[in-house]
Amino acid sequence: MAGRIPTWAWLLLLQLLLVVPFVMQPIHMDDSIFLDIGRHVVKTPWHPMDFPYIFEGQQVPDMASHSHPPFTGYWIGMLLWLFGDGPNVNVILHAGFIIFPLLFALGMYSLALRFASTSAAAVVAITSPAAIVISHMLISDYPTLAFSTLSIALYVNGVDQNKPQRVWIGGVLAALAAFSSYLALMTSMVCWLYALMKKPDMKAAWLSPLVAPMWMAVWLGLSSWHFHRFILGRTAQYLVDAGGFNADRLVHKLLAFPIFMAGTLVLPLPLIWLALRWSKMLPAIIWAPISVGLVQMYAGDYALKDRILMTVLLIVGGWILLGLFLRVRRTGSQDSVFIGVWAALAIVQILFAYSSGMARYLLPLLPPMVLLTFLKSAKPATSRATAVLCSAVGLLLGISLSIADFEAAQTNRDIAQYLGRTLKGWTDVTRFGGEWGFRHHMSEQGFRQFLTDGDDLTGGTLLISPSEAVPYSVAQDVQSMLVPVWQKSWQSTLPIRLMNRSAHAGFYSSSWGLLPYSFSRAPVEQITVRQVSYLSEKLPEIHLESGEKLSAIIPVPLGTGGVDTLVPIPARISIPYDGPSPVHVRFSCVAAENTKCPIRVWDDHDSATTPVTLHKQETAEFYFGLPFAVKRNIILELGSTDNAQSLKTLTIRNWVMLPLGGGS
Amino acid sequence: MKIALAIVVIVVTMLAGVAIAQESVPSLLRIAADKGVHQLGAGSETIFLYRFTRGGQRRDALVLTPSVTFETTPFRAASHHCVSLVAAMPFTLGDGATLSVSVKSARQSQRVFQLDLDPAHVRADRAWLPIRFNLPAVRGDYTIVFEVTAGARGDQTGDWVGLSSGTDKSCLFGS
Repeated sequence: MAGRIPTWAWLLLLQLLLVVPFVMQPIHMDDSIFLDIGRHVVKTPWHPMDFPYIFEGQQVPDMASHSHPPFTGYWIGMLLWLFGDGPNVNVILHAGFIIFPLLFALGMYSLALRFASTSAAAVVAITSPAAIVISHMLISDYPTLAFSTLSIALYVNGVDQNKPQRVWIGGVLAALAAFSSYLALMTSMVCWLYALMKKPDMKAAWLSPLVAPMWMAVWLGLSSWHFHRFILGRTAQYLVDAGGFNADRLVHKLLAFPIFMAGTLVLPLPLIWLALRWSKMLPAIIWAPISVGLVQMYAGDYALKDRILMTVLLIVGGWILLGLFLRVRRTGSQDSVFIGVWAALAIVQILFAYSSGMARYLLPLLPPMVLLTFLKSAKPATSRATAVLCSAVGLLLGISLSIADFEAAQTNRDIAQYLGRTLKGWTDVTRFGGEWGFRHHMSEQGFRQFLTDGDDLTGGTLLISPSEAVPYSVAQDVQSMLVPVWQKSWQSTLPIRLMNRSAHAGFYSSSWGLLPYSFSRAPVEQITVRQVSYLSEKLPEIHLESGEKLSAIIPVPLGTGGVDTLVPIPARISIPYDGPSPVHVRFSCVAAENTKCPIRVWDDHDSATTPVTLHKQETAEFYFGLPFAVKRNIILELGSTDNAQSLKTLTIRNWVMLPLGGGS
Repeated sequence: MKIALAIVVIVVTMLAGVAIAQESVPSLLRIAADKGVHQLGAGSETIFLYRFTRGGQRRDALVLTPSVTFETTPFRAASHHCVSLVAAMPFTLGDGATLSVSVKSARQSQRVFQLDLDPAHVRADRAWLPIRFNLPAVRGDYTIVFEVTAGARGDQTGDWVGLSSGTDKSCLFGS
């Protein structure tokens, strides 16, 4: 007790302080997927996953085989049903998710009272950098963590105190955890393990962990019956296709695990100290050069500062794992074995159930890691001061990462708003290919995604691709017609990156980099806008008048990206256009050296043909503007200057059609 | 009873024979792979296996570039009376290309099919086009030879022609 206010109240207050300032965080990362499920729940609550979806450029007929069952979708659906959808949906949902960090804090507090030498261990758990960052997300990881921790806490308490009611509530919470994440079925195993060790004379202790697997069996059975297939089949297939089990990927995950653990989970100083003191520091010292070698081998191309950070994290991660092992072995108590097996189950899950390493995947390891660090039965017992030090480090890092992540979330919203403004009136002819918050905010601006194998990308369609937010690949037929339009980068104030390929930061997936975060000023996001070449895609409809019998307009790829359109001269080309207008047309005219571009432009619409002024922008770049018209023909007269008489062909390079102002 | 049993044995044997015969004809891609044709790698290959999309359909294909011929392994005469394939050019570039197919036996080589493809200028060519042609009556074993040449203006830009299994199961390469 601290004065009259109980410790748990302080704990909840701290948890609130860590979460409430971030309720304004825009929709970020995979929030968008769960929000889409939640929106569907509101429409058809009995079939929460029965709707088509585009994921990474591929269309799936339904979301039944999504990696998570629908608890989070239901929770979001309930919040939307109660408080409505709209521009502030992010605030409503974040406020509605505050319950989960509070439940986790209570669960950890109860477990700390039972297993730890100080209740301050619970503070260490809630100030885990990974936990702080993920507590600002609308994904299933924190609900899973909260339910499973509280479930085990109530179960242990119920068995210890012989209170069947608590044990049953623990069973129900375990079912909720499993309904948030299939892998949380591990909670039931942990409960049964405790029962095996304690051998309680209570039926509930043996039966209550059955609630979760039974509930999930019913859910899987009904869903598989509804969708006429075993719904987890495709989930497993995705994991296999993503290389989750191949040797290279396993090595990658083995390497990412200690790095991410040391960098984001918690700094368990007592465990590190234990590892350092073992066998006259020899194993700890030997691990250091091994780490240097591993980093050099697997991340030799990273910048020196990134390699140094990675080496430090790998060394510390190795020490933490050694410390965990030594803690269980040396203490040898029933409690340490119980928590040790719990930790081992979590580690197996982290290494084998996912396709990459991620900070949030480490969360199931957080409770047993903290409890082993501050284990009551360990000698000597760990002091409150150590817990305060561990928490302070976690707090500093967690808040810094959260602010950087908040900025990244904001950046994606800013990008979408910027594109919404600059491409106003052109949303119907613009498609994007990316995931995360970018996807959500672009959809909110009225833009649609494109499919990797889609055949509906017509001439003039603008394609927007991010560099970080899982850019969709473009099929080779469309790729061969893409013309660069512009590229723009977005920065943030804090030089910390959580998801950035060039900074090798992969907080949400080690596929982006083997560091959980990186200190870098690399652009948070870079947007590339390209256009499906109007002249190439519409070529069958473009009319060419030329004296030569075999003459034709020939599109050829440009080595630096883009399309050259070779046209014969003299000739007259009529280009039908019914896209958005007014329109700004830009192109480069590549003729013979020191020759004026031999092109005259005419605008033919509403039974009137008027000359158009061609402006010169740079060395060989020209542009002209056309006013509003529903339908028109753009007529190009080629070879219309006297000094072009010797030319046989002319190259029109990277012809793009944009909103007035150029769309940037 | 014995007669019925004999009929059953004969029918089962015939069905098995048909099944084995059908299975014994590998796909065009399998034949190409067996002849050492690999997936597209560095980009300098002239004949290769490549997965590409046309008209929203992604298919594995054997791709030929201009002035390269691909000759199948020999087939027995009269094993099939037709060939079923689909063809497409992966890129919307250049002035098109021409696919020619010949049947070659010990005695003669006979052109049996020709297809002009120009996806840049002909919208209908921006899809997988079904190809079906009858095989001429030949004596002895025969091979099928595929060849790609540049379009009418001689431009070789993007002149890749992809071939994949056709839809007519009764024909060679149909699936």
